[in-house]
Formats: sequence, structure tokens, C-alpha cells
Amino acid sequence: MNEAALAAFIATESRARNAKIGNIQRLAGGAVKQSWAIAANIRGGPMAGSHIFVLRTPGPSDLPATIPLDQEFAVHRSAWQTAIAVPEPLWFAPQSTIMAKPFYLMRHCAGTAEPRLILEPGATGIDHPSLALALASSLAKIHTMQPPAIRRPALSDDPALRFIQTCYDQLDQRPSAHPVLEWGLRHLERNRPTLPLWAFCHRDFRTGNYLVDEGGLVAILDWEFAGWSDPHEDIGWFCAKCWRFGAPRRAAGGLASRAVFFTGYEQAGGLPIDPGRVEFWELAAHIRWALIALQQSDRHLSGAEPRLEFALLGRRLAQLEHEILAMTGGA
Amino acid sequence: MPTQPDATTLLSAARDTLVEVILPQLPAAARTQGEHVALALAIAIRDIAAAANGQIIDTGLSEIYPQTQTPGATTLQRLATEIRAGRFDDPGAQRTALLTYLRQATAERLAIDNPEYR
Repeated sequence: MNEAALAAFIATESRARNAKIGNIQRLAGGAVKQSWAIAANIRGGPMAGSHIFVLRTPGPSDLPATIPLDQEFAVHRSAWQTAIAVPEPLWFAPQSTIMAKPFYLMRHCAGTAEPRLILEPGATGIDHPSLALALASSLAKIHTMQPPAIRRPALSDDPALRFIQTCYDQLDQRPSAHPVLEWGLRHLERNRPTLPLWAFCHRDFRTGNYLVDEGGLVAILDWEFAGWSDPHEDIGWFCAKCWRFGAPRRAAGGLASRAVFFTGYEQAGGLPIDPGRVEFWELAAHIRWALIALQQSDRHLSGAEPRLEFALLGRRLAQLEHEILAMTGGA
Repeated sequence: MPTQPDATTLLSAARDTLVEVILPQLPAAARTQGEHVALALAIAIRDIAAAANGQIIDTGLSEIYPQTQTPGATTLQRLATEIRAGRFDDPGAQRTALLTYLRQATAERLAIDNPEYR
């Protein structure tokens, strides 16, 4: 990172006389993209004053399902314009002399995204059912988005079939067979919804990807997987057991019951929820997460981005497969 | 008594030291990474013990493919292909054997990777 060039970029974009930056710190989390907090002092112009920005940029390696950063920025901006709680997106920069990879800047939001801190009763003073309702309302809004950056699929296309085919393609590229994932996918194939439904989806909407403080929901993060799908994919992902972080009885993200979340979503203007479709996408969620865990593990094994965290994800497979078997009558 | 500590003994001692002595002193920023190291050591210890005990994953494959002498990666690939093609869609002995095998193989790996998982 060329700090002087980054300061000049901030000055230009904020129409300032000049800008100084400092105290650059890597933020925790972000298994695919990297985030850095940057203190900026802007002199002159409409944004004069002290700020903390977050710079988001691709890591040394990536996952196949993520969207390019310019599209992610456009989606993030579209969410901001739809009045969804997100950090205010500011400016995108392509690969340049500032950084070897593209990046974008957003305003920093205070709060925590740490699941165990959020879900531990009484740890943060957060009322879990209220937070579940706020998230349900946000998700209903997300499903109304129509970001121009991401092309809407043809109505004749089918998100469930597309999901299954994508997973088969990924399995076919792997060096070894995964019979439990095949079994889960075959179950999906035989039990898929008959009519396709489409909405714009976050596709990583889960506990761990939103910020909260004592007042409740602050911001929804990590839009790198966003795209068009069946809106039940987001609901299934949010409710999947693998994202409940030690609170398995509270199905909706470890926060509340499915009933609370479903009602909140529908009352906020979301489409009527079909529990059968949610069941389909909860199973799909475990299969998708299993494939992502394998791909993350590959990033370590290939040497592209050696990190213990990624290596350990490869050993997460057994518990995901255990759930897949439980959901398909195999356990 | 063994004359020198084996790999499992060394790894176990290293993990105990990490959990009991080092982790409590780590700053908050490094704590998650310390926990990851402890987890990796625990999995490695169980992995070594399972191999030493002669636990062989995929033993149940011979129930599905009795003609195959030594089921291995090729048999596993064949199984995956046949699941996708629908060979096990209908209830019956083949499907029961498949699910028995999948359950057993998954449970064996889960016992190593995350034995407390429920």
C-alpha cells in the first residue's frame, strides 16, 4: 500500500485541500477479503475533519463464487441507497499505484460481529428476539434490491437447479470423491421446489456477518457473494445449524426461533415464506458451506495463502456431513 | 516404560502447555489464533492415535461392493458417480448399506475432527 498515494486519493475524492492518513490496522475476520482500518484527517472540503475509514481489498487468493470487487462496491452502494443498515460506502479504486489490487473505502462502524459475544445471553445487553426482527426486516429490504451491476437471470432459469449444477461442477473439479455431499445433492435434486422464485440475495446473511452494539443492529457486512437467487436461500443460510454458533436450539441465527424470524420477515414486506423451501435451502447451506470449507482449505494446501484458519476449515467437513446425513434421513 | 516420548506424547505435552500456560497470557488480538493452534494440535493427536489403533475409514464400502477386494479411492469415486446417477434412490438393501457406510465413515472422521459435536 502506497500511503502517500492513498492519502492523495482520499483528498481528491473528498474534494479536500489535502488529507493525512495513519494508524493503519488490519481488522479481524474477513476470510476472503481483507479489511484495514485507516485514520484519516481531511483538510478542507465538505468532509473536513477526522475520520476512520475501512479499506476493503481482495486477499492473496480468492474463492470462485465471489463477485469482483467493483461489483461488490456497486451492490454495497445499492444497499446504502435502499436504506439498508450498511457502513456508508465511499469510493472505489481499480488496481493502481496506490495498491496492487483494487480496493474500496467505507466509513468505519463501531460494534462487534463476534458470534459468541453476540449470542451469549447477557454479554452485550442485546435483546436477541429484537435483533432477529431487525435482521428479518433488513433481509426483506435486501430482497427488494435491483442493483444494476448484477444482471437479473431469465425467469425461466431455476435457482435451485443452478445451485445443484454449480455444486456438481465444483465436486467434479476436486481430486477426491465426496459421497456424502453427492448424497445431499441427490436429495436436493429429488426434492427441489417446482416453481422458480427470484430475488436479489446477500448470499452470506448470517450471524458473524453483521455488526451490533448495545442499541442493536448496526450494519450488515460482507457482500462478496451477493447475487440473484431464491430468497429462501438467504433464509435457509441464516437458519442453518452450522451458523448458530453454540445456540443450536435458536434456529434463526442462534438468536430466536424460526417463527419469530419468519413472522418478522413477512411483516416487513418480505415474500410469504414457504417452510418446505427453507428446508431445501438449509440442506443446500450445509452442502455449500462444506464446499467453501474445502476451497478455503485448498488455499492453505496449495500454498496460495497459508493460514491455519483455512487448514482447520478442511477438518470442518465431518460435522457438516453429519448434518447433511441428519437432514436426509441418513443419521 | 518407553525410553523416549513418542509423537503423541510430545504433541499432548505441547498442547497442555499452550492451553494452561500460554493461552491465558496471550493478548486478546492473538487469542483466537492461539485457540486455533490448540485445536490443530488436538486434531493431530487424535489423528495419530486413530492411525495407530488401525482405524480404517471406508471399511463399509465392501458391503456395497462385495466383489471389490480392496476398496480405495477408485471405489469411492464409483460410489459418488452412482449416487449421482440415482442407484440408491429407492428404499432397499442397497440404500441401507449406503447409509450405514456414510454414517460410519462420517462418525469415524467426526470422532477425530470434533468428538464433542452433537
